[in-house]
Amino acid sequence: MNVEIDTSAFTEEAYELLSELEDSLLELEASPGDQELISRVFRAMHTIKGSGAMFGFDAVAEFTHEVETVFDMARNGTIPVTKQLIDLTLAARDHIRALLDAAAGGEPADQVNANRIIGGLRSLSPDKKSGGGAAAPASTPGKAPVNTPSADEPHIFRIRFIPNPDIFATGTNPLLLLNELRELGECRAVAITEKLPDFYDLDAEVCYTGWEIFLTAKIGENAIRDVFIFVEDECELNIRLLDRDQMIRDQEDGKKLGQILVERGDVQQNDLERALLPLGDRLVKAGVISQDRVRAALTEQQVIQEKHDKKKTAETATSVRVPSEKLDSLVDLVGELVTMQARLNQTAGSIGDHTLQLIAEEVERLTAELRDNTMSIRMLTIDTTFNKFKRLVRDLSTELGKEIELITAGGETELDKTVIDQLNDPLVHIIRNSIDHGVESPDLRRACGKNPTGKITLSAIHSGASVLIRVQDDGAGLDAQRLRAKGIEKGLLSPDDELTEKEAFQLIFAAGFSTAAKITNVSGRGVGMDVVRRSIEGLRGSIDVTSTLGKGTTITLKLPLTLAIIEGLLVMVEKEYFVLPLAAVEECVELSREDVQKAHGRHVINVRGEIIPYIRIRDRFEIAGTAPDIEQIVISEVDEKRIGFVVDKVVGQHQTVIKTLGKNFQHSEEFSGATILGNGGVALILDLTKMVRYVEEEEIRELDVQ
Amino acid sequence: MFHFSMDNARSVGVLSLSGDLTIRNAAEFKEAMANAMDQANQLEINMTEVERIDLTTLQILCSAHRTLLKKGKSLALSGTVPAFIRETVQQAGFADCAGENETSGLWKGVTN
Repeated sequence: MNVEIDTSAFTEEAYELLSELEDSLLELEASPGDQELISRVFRAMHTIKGSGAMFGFDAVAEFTHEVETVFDMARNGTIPVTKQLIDLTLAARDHIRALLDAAAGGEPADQVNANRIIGGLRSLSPDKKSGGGAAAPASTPGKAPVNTPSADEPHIFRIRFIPNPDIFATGTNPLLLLNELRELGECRAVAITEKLPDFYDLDAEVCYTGWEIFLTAKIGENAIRDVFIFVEDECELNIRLLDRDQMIRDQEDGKKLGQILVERGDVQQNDLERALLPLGDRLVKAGVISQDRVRAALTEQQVIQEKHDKKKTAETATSVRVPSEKLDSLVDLVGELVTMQARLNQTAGSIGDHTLQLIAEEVERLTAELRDNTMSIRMLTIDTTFNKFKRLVRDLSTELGKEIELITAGGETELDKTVIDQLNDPLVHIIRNSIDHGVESPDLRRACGKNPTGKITLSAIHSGASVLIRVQDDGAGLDAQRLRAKGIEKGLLSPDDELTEKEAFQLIFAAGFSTAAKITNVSGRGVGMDVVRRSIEGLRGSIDVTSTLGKGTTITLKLPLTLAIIEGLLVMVEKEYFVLPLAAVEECVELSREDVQKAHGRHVINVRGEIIPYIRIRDRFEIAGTAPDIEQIVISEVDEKRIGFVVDKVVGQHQTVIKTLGKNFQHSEEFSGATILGNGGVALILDLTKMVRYVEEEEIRELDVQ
Repeated sequence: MFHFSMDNARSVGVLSLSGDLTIRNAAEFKEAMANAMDQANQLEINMTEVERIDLTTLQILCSAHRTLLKKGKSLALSGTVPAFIRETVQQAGFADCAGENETSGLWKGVTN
């Protein structure tokens, strides 16, 4: 029988490991001496090799083995970590990726390139003949163990702490020291009271107690010693790292009978302990050891076992891989449920049956929870996207002879998967632009009195229902005058147009606009930034540019958290329903006939002393009928300006499941979609930004005609 | 601070403690314990009103408990034991210090 192995699990994991590998390598380049990073690189490669071989990706396994062999030497300190090694390993990482792509039906990987990489790596090893024989095990039993406690994994320390009998006299409270240890990590103490005398011989002010403490923490031994720094001379202190590898070897080589029984499920851990107690008792009675020592030993065993168990569950239960289509259809279903629930609410309301209403409310609550849950499943942190750029910045800046450091912040910010997926290309364009046009060459920077190493900061932060993603460089900045001149040259502006600085900056997003004197293969062809704007607007986001000449440029992308369901404000004009995104809405005020008369035909209203322009939805869409005496203005923030939208009636908040409009309506850019209402009707979702832009353009045109 | 009462009929003595029970008055506490241990065959300690304890308290109780067990007498806690005391016992690793088994343990319900 032919067994089909699902290799997608491997490829997905491998891609993740590769990006981890890349990150580690880049970090390693910055701090070549970091043993922990070297181990991380090694581990990533080791895992790729191992599971690659398991899933039949022999080419991947063989190639990775070669790289791993060389890196193993770096790990043991046989060869130093050099830029050359990192360059080669990065190239190797790309080749592994190419191999994976090829296996998935992509183009075959370049064998010449592979040979070049391997040749380069082999030449690094002191013993040039080594590295051959792909089948040989990577680690030989004789190699020196790397004994650097890694920071990302907790260790178990056994601390023997025996205070001097007169420790109380110095005012020390040993219990406080234990509390301090507890702050370092998970801590279990067993008091050793074998010196505690018979009650009648007891001196109440003498310390007879010692401890065996088991501390599970991600720290080094010194951090523990620091706790005892003031009592060093007043106690006996012995700290031992319970060697993880030793423990595992113990477990694998010769499992104890009890352990085997427990693992097989024949015996419960508790029962085993109970059974072991008599042995302890016998030892105690024989005077071999004290009761406390037995307890300490049992605790030690338990702590180790717990950590082992925890690791196992962590390995199995941290995540489940699900194809994203399944999630997409789940979101669709939840969307339909939200719509149905709105209908149920409305029906229950109109029937007026109390019981039915109660049920409808309960369903509403559940639906809301289900919706939030589903949305949160689709949320991904943005750090994977951010990390990709480290490589981009490194490669591009080397190519252009610039020195640039990429700093990222807020990588833990979560965004909807669809948004993240579509964010990559715009960010690539923006960052390329920053590298190419923004940051100057080191010589020029030195001449300007700047640090020769340029800085690009990539950050993400939550702001209400949006996420702000900022790309900031400390380069040359944008020259508003030059942009304006270029705009006139390209025919985008007429020579007498007046532009604010901000408007001038927006020119960089115009199609075919580039101020770069020469076209490099990085940027300058003027196709990038308009694509950026289009894709960000496609995500219902916006772009903001600020810049100071000579100091740098900041480009801020404002993106919605999610695309599928938004909170909207349902409004009515005549019998038509519209939805305004609630995130943009600031307040609602009344517009009476008098207000309109006072404004003498201009579409503005005075709200608490502030003049706010408004757009009449009724006029805009030429809806027939007469407006009521008192209309409502929904005041919203659009492009950082307050603008009102006049409607007949504000219905209320509405869970808006966004449905895309049919093909025939795709050109109606004033709508970002439609939604189905509780009564089965349809409401159009207004794209406020676009609408304001259209109205402005129209008015400018009218003015020109006049 | 230390109040001892004796139920002569059942030869059960109850030592009620209150306030601070730390090294400052450890000697007095030991004194009071010794007294109570002499009089009662079954000694109960009530710690409901205790506000502070430290290692000396635990040593005295532990030692007294062991000594009494050896003599065939008993020591137990009565009333509610304040949560902070249970916590201290647990953190100091005294939980089943003299409590070799479930019946004689002083700090029942507390584990290391």
